[in-house]
Amino acid sequence: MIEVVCNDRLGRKIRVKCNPDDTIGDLKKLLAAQTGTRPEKIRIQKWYTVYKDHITLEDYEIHDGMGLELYYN
Amino acid sequence: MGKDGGEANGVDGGGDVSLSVEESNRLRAKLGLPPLREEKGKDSRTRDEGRSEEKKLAANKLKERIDGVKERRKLTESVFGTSTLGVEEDDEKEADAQSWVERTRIAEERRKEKIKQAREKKVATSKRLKRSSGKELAGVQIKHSLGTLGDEPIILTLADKSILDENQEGINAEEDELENVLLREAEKAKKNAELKKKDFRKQYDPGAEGDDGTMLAKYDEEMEDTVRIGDGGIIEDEKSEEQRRLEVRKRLLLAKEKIGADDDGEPKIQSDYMTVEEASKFKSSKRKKKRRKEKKLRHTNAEEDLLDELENEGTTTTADDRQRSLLTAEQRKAKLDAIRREEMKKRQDAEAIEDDDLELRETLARARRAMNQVKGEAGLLKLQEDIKNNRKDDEEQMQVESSGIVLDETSEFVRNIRKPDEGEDLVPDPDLEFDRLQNTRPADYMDENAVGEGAENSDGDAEMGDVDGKHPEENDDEGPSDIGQAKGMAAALEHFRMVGDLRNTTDQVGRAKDERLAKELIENAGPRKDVQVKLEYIDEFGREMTQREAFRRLCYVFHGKGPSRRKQEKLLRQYVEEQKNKKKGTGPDTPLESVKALKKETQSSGQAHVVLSGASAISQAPSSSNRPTKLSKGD
Repeated sequence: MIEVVCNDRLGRKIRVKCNPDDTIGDLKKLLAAQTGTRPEKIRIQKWYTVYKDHITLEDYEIHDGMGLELYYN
Repeated sequence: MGKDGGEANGVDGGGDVSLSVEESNRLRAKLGLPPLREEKGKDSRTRDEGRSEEKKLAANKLKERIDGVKERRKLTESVFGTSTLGVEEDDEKEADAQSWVERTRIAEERRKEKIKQAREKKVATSKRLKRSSGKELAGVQIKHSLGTLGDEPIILTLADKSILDENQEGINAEEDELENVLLREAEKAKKNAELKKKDFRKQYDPGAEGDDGTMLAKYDEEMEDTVRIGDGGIIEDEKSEEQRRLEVRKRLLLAKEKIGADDDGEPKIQSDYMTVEEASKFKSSKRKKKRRKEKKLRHTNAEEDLLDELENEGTTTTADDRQRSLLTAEQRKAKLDAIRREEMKKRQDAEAIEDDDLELRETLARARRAMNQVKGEAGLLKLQEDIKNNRKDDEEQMQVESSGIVLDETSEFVRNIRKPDEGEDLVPDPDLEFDRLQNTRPADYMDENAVGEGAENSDGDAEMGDVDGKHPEENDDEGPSDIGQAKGMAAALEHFRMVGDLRNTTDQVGRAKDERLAKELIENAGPRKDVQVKLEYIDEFGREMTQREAFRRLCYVFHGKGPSRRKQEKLLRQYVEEQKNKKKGTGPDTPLESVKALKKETQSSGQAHVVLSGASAISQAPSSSNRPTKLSKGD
């Protein structure tokens, strides 16, 4: 289990516990459940790389305690 | 960690939102995701740390135990490996001197055997090597000369060569060669030292000492001495050094012959010009003699010959020239004089040229010869045919003339010439006349002369001038009648300028700078009369266009874009003007036709003068008041 910090810099900072083999899509669902936003409206990115739904956190080398940028489309 | 449990209510937005593990597990279950794996998480970490300390302790203990056991085993092994004193003592007791001797003997034998075996092995391997070098190396090339190889054994290795062939396409199929690296390097060093001694800066000097006739020997490919291993691994040493040299010499000689040496065996350098000997060989003495003869003939009979030629031309040339045969004896004399002068000039020129640059002329002649050879007999045949055709035409014309009266331009012209009162105008300039003759000579005669001397071809210009200059004179017979009161050359010229006759008779349309060629010129200039093609382009007013104008029209059509409207209007205006001028060809008059008005005035008044100013003019005003208005209208 790892914990990822997603910050939307609009005053919301979400800590999500997840498995490293979860996909970004799963992460979005978890985020959606915690924030009340629809998961398809969430975009996760780090600098200019927008993370794709079907790829796991492991593969993006997202580790415990890492911060991700959260945007709403 | 502390936050995890407490702040589960993060849905309200704002601040940190996080769920505990249990809540997130529930959520995951709802979403259909597998539960969180605890073992690597943060919570388990502390526990792990505690455990690891215990484990470490346990591991240390275990290690210690294992080490102890190991040490013990080592000790026991060392103890059990050595034979005890007691045992040895027992052995010694058993062994007597004999047994000891036996043992030592056996040991000795074993040792010897071992040595023997080793020796045998060595021999066998060397034998094998020898055998292989004998059979398998047959025909292999060694990259050293026998002299450098020496008597002592040396190790040869395969010489370096590229894997790919020269074109970098296939595999290099050249045979392998053997070389000794050290020897190779020594040779290279030697060669470099030699090269350093040489001074390449000095220029190429074919006559210099030590020059063996080769050009730029430094770039020659050097032949490497090689030795081939024969059958049975024996190096073939049949050829001595000298023999080899001889062979090389032979080869070089052969190559020279191939390149193309003379009968002397010396190489020939190709040059643009013949040497003196060659030239003497080439020049036929026959030709020389002929030339001289010709010259003599010219000296003696030049006048007669030329006269004959003139006569011949009278018969052979076309109607345009025929008029000339009708010239009087005086004119002929004048012509003859001119011819003589010309002839003298030519001779002098030729002599001067001969003295000045014989060589140049020779080379030129050679070039011409080459050209003629290329052209071959085809050109000659063509010439002959052309001449024949011309003759036929003339004969036909002659027949026609003899059958009845033919009225054409030339006959009219001739009749005009015979008029007695205008004879003084018609004696032509003899020089010009001669030029004209030369231009209309039959082609073969012209060809010969043109080949001989290139200096006389400037008469084209003279002819042009001739044509232009003649027009006013020829038209003069009609002039005075038109002009009426005006007389003299200036008046005539003025008149013709007004009328437009001064320009070329064929009025071709085009721009001011366009070349206008007289029709006769075009017709006569063409060397081939058998080709019946005439290209004429007519503009919208029915006038012939100049070459350039015609091309311009074609371009307009081709590009689908004509001249501008202004240009078109201008052209039209010009045309109208021209037509007006032509119609008004009655006399030199101002645009307002003041001369005409003057004439009428004098006729009506019955006086030879008109008063233009003063009181009398005013008093006459009513009578002449009508005239000015008429004048202004332009009649």
